Amino acid sequence: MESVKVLKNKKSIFKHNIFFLIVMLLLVAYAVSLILPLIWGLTNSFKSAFDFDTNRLGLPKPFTLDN
Amino acid sequence: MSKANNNILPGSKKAGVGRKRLLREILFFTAIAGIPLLQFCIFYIGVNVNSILLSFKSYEASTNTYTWIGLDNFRQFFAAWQNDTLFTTAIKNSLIAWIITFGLGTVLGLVFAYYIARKRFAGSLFKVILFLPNVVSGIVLVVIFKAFTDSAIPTLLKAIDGQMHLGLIQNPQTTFATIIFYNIWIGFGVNILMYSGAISGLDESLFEAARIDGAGPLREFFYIVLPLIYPTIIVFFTAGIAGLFTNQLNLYSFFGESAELKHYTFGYYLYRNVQTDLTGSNFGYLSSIGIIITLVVGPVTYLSRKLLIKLGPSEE
Repeated sequence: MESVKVLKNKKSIFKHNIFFLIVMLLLVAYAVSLILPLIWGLTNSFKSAFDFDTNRLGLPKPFTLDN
Repeated sequence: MSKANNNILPGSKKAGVGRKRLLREILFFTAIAGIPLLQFCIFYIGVNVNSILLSFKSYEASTNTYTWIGLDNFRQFFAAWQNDTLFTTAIKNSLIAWIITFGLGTVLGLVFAYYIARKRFAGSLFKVILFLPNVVSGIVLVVIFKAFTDSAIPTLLKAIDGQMHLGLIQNPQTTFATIIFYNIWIGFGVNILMYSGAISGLDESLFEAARIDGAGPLREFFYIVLPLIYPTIIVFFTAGIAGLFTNQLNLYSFFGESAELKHYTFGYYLYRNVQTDLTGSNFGYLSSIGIIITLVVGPVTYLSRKLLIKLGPSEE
């Protein structure tokens, strides 16, 4: 009886780990989708208009505080 | 205590001090409650009564006069409803947007809240990140999102396949879907906080007992979490359905006054017309639409809430 309970518990822990792993991956994807545009917006705020037109994805070249 | 009070003679020094204290307390509580009460009376009751009265009037800006016109504004709306497909489009868009944002938002919000409330890996960090859209100004988020989808994503796609791509907002085929995505994307924060708060308050022994009995996470979720936080879900549902026809889906932030007619929601139609009517001559007509919406949405909200309570899972 005790061994059945232990087995059930082990199965439950395994199921929980898989479930929470999937949810964690979804959460990571969502968190990245939230942070990425904000970081992109932040880096572009240090670009000149010309730099923004020619280099949309890269880091500011040159870095400017004019904006 | 009462014996002591009985010993205070009326007109004595002690009675005077007691009266002063009582007076000070009344003054204090009046001051505390007075400001919100005044605000409620002016900006809620006053505004709504004025809006109801306005729906039966027309306004002539050149002479600054209001004229009582009875039900003409309402008749004008029903005539426009029959002749103009704009309202049908706006209602269809409002319904589609609400079903998707509420449905997906609730399902994902509950699952994410369950993860955070069960104190899983980096749960607190996710909580902070997910709340980020509520900290940043709404218009800043729209500007960044619009620039990102119309500028960064096409550039990225071009770098991958070498072809030109339209932005997700620029492309007419993806505009509305992207707007809906945006509203789901930013709408999680508060939901997750509320749901995770409700789940955290549940008795831990329930989860322990379920695990000992071999219940998996889905069973735990459907048989423990969902029935016990169902009242919180109903609150969100009620608030959501009440705002069904007033939600403008951030269309005004994205497009200003120039959103395409096929993307109109009812909320955007009202918001845009109020914003563009500089003289206020159209406010009576818009107020009548507001009254009609209330008359439709009020009973729908009440009945659907009743239905949800009746059909919902039992806590037993």
